[in-house]
Amino acid sequence: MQRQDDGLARDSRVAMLDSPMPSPDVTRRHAVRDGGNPAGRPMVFAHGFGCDQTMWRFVTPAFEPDYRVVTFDYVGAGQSDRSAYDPERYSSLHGYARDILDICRALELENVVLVGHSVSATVALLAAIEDPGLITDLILITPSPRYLDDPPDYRGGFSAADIDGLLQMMDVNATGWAAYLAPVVMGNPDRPELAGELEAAFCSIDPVMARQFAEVTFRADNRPDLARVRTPSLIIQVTNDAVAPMEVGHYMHRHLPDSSISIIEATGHCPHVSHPSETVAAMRAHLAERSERQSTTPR
Amino acid sequence: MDIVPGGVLTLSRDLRILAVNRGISVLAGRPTEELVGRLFDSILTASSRILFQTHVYPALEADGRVEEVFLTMAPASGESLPVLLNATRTAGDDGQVVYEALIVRILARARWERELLALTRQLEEQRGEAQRLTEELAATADDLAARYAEEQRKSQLRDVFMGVVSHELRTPITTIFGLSRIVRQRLDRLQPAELAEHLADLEFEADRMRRLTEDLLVLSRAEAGRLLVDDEPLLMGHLAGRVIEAEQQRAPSHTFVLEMEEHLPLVAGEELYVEQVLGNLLSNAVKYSPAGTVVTARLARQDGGVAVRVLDQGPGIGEQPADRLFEVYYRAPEAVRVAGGAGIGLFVCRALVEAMGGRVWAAPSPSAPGAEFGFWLPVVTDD
Repeated sequence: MQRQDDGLARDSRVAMLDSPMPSPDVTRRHAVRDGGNPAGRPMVFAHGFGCDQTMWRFVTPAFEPDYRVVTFDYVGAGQSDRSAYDPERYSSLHGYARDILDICRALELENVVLVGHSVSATVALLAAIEDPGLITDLILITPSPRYLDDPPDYRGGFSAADIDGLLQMMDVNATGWAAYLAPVVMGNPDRPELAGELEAAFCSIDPVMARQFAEVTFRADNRPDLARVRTPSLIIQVTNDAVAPMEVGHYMHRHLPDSSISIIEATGHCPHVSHPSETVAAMRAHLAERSERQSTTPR
Repeated sequence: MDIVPGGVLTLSRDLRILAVNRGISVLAGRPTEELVGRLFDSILTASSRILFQTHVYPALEADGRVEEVFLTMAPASGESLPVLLNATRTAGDDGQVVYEALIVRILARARWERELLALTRQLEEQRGEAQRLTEELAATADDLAARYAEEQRKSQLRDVFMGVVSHELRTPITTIFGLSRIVRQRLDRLQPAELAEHLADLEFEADRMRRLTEDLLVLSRAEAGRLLVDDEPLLMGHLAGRVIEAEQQRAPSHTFVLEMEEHLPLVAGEELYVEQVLGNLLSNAVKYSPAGTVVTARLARQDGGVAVRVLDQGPGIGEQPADRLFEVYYRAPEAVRVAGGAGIGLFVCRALVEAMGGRVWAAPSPSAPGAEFGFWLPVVTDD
């Protein structure tokens, strides 16, 4: 149940929901896994573009004794209900933010630590802007508010041509993997076992979803949203990340109010996969500092 | 390894190239010593780096292997090169995690796949277009059917008009013409009583024509969707008294009775139209009930308005659905047998009452035999 004192915030949330879904529908739609310590503070993990909730499995065990650990798949990824894919809803990152809020409300979570990787760091920011009473801590792993360069002052790391190339490559991967993906693309009801095989794979993504997610992700510019965030956040930046370069991490830190940054000496875009213990340590240190701050200074 | 037709690489945990064969240096367009020590994704295009970092690497780490991933390499020459990547995660000689990768150039296949993809797209577009055309066609067919129905309705309406004009108006005109001629030719020979009777007949026929004309006017306005009414406050009791008095003069064959509750509220309507409605219902009652019987108009408060019931002692409305009586083309089989008529009177009543926010009905008379035709208008509101 919602607390009594956040009536206002709750009203505005209700207003933005065009169709509140009953909770079994939401949890099934997103293949929600709700584990860890049921009495602990909820920690919700949002996977990034190109993968599914399985990517969290290297870090979640560390939090399970103390936190209620919630992971999920976006529609089109992993074990989600792919028939629920709605190109209209997912034509902007706000649709994904609504997914996160839907899940939190369906599970009646409060005081949520929201962990977002890559583009889901941006999605997490949008969710926190929408409902700061619900999302009270943000952990942003290798975030980027904009992947495209915006000369002369902003370097996101990619040109428009790079993104076109990515989209083309995803199309080719969809046809190249035709044996797997054709039944999903075409929705062929005669060969359901193929779709099943695909869904069983790790980091599986529906090509139609993946293509739109890529387009929305890599063409988005959420720099103006940074200043609107009221929820304290931790940015986890990797020294050598080809997708979210160091200077992007520093840009985030400069423009995001009440943010801290923790830098992991490593290569790659997925420290929670490649360097889980360092990632867990950074998260723990930040959360400990936060709870200390909360207990010593009235909010 | 060096004779393998394709690139073979060993990557460290942090994706640095540890060892390569000669094949990869051919694909990458760089000498092997330049490749060792580099980050693997630095020999990929920027687009492939994204796919590799966001999808391939986590899948490889979670699943231990990836197969048949399409990527593009960025050789030193600059031209991007399509390749397929297989990779597995394994333990190296020192027990550390390494990735073994195999890269095969797929130039020809990539070209075919591109074309296949373009064709698939084209097919999908064509299918979409075909679907769109089918839908458009169906919409056009619906539209045509609707227009046909509308035309048919209009044509039926024209028939009604023609019927009214040719029969219902011609009869009184013939009578008026004949009587006026008689009066003119025999003016000096006619007894005053005879003259009075002829003039009364003339008046009666002219009045019938006037009513028909009024009804036709309403009918044509309703059909054109231009039936606008005012809603003035009306005292239904006064209005009914007036109309019944006039109707009694017109039809001395019947006895008219007005029954009404006291202190009826004001209703909303347009006076002339309400008079027309009540007049139509009363003259209908006269038309379809035998001479010497009673026609009752009963006014009562009902559902936030006033109900007016016209009760006759005729044969009643029979078996047909009561609503059909108010349709423009419909004349009840009983009605056709009993009396002539254009069949527009009740339609006009319904059109007028509904335009004034009320409703009409027909039912067997509560004191059968006989028919009840009624209408209801809402109480006038302040706004």
